[in-house]
Amino acid sequence: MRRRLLLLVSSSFVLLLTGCWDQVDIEERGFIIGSGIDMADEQKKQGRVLTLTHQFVVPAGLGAPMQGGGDQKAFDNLSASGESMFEISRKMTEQSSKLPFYRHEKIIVISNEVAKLPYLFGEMMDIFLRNPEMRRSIKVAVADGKAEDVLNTKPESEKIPAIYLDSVMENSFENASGMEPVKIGEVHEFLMGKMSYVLPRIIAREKSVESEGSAVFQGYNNQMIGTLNDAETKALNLIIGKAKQGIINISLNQKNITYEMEEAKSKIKLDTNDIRHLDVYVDINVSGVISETFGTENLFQRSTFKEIEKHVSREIETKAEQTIKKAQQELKTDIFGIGNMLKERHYDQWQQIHDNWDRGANYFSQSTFHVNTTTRIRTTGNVNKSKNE
Amino acid sequence: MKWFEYGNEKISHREILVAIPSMVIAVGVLSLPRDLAAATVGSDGWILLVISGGVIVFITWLMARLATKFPRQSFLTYSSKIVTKPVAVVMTFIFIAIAIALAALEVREISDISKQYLFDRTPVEIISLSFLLVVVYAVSGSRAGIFRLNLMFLPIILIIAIAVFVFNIGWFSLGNLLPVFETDFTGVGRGLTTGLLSYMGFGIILFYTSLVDNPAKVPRSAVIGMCIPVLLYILIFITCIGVFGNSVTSNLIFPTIELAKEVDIPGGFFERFESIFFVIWIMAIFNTTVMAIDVALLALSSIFKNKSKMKIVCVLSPVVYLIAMYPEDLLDVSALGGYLSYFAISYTSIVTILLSVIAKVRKVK
Repeated sequence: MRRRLLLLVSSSFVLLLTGCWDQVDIEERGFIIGSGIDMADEQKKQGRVLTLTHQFVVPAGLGAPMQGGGDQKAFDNLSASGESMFEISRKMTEQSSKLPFYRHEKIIVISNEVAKLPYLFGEMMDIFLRNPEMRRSIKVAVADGKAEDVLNTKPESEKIPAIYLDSVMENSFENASGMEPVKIGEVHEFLMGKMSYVLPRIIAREKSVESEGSAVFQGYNNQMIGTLNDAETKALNLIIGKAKQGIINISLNQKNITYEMEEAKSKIKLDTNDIRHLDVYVDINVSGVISETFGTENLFQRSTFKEIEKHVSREIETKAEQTIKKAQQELKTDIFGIGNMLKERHYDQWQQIHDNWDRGANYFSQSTFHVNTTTRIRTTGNVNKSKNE
Repeated sequence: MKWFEYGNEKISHREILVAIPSMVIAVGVLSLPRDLAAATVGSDGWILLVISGGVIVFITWLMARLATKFPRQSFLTYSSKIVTKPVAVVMTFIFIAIAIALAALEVREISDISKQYLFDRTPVEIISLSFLLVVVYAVSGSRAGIFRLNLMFLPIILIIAIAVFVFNIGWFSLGNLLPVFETDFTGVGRGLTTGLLSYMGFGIILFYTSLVDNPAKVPRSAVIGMCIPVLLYILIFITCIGVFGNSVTSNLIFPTIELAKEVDIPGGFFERFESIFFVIWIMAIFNTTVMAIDVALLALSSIFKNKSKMKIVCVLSPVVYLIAMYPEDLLDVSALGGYLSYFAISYTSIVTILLSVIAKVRKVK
């Protein structure tokens, strides 16, 4: 009798196994893949009203492999407005039939309107860092124009704009010496470190998105104070040693020569004798190949190599100096992370000046940069000359 | 009911070697980088971990030497010989209280963390209860079984920790480790205490040595065993600083978990690494909780000789559960953890040193 009772009791525990507080069927989850933050069209007198757009994946639109998805859209953008991000997300659940699920979030787009207001950008990032569902590898980008428009582009090749955007940014960095994508984890470092920083910038076209230069943020108030165009961003990457592949055009005897960088390194040295007038030595080391020539030079000799190398070096130095000039005089912002290097290597001196580094007395603008470039040509491709005069 | 017996209940010094790191590595290391980074500048914290680790390793050695002098005698027996029986009983009771509180803390913290990252809507009470039930199941079985679990889990735990390090090398930036040697004195003091407190749990040697048949090699094994968490902590701390930088590390609630979340192997075939990390770390915490309760059991049964083990378990587990449910929020839990580790570390160290000195002076054999 006792045994039977025991059996009954223990088998009734099996019923408990089915219970699960956190069970949500996968059909009921709304997978958010990208988000955009804009200023709302209607503003209140006090406080700021923001619009948050979430891009939900519609799995039916993706279709099964080999079958195609038919005409159905593979994504659904929902927007709502409010003052805090969390409040807006909650409002959005009222419009949606599904439970928002952030684990697959790939990208956050901020409109430049939002970025240009002081402090707002930093405030917006909080929820994306705090929510345990979010990963620290979500990319952050600044849109030129409305963030919603970026999420609404209809690319031909991809079904979901956010995924398309993600690969465009990755591609632009890997193959076109654009800005390296910035992850929200790094943004957290920027916000904590109070150092100025740059974020990638994107422009929405009708059927595509273009990665275009970068947006410059002041570190102490997280305000976007200007932009760098493609060439300036490229020069910035060369200076801080983040450049990947890219091309440099020079002309030799009025004929165009295209030099393709395959590897670029840089070394920055600081001379801190006078911390208020810092000397910064930038050594850039580039190696690559000649990928196109219009002229008929005999490339296969040392003197021509030297000549081309000299031209490439001079071209890089000019670009770098222009960018440095813009950063020092126009933006007055330390986009090169020199402040961070000071903190890392000359901590005591940094403690004295960190409040006046790229604001206040702005010692950054008063420092002198010395750029020196060494170029190396590895090969000239298949042929020496492709034509004779 | 009849229980299956695993051979004899004796263990070797190798089991002690594995038991110490299994006991020490638990929830503490998930948040340790935060507290250490908050107290120090740059990556200076690792030096403090080395210093405090050295101190703890020394105390461990002292403890093992003390226990080895009295082979096959329980803590109560030999401490009664050194200081009188009533004092020994009081000392044992304090150890029991520490062990129970430690078990409760582990249960609570793992439930809180699981709730935050895994079970959004499941109440903490239920998570704790189910975890505790599994722990109780392990404790009521054979003691040798617990040591075998340690032996099985520890390599997996170490491998996953090293994997977290290896997969994060890509995000590692050496610049984050700079500047060095810039921490001021108050920071050094705070960092040293944080380091010391993170090694809580090594007191088990005082009790488990009595189970070792031939304890001559126990001190050496104990020292090697204690070095494992020291090295592991340094590795995890440096990885955190290298990947996140000092200021971010000091503001992440669980930097080690974020480190596991950061892992993202290109190609997308191995995302969501943190789920594996969680499973394995719960194993580490399980080991710690089981051993904490088991030490309490061992000590209690040395005082109450004629009570059966199951009876003591039945009284003990509700107590553990109640203490685990007592703190109200995150801050309460971390305050409880703080007080407990302060008390446990200083009490264990003081008792060890006092007993060693008195044993030497009075020439107790």
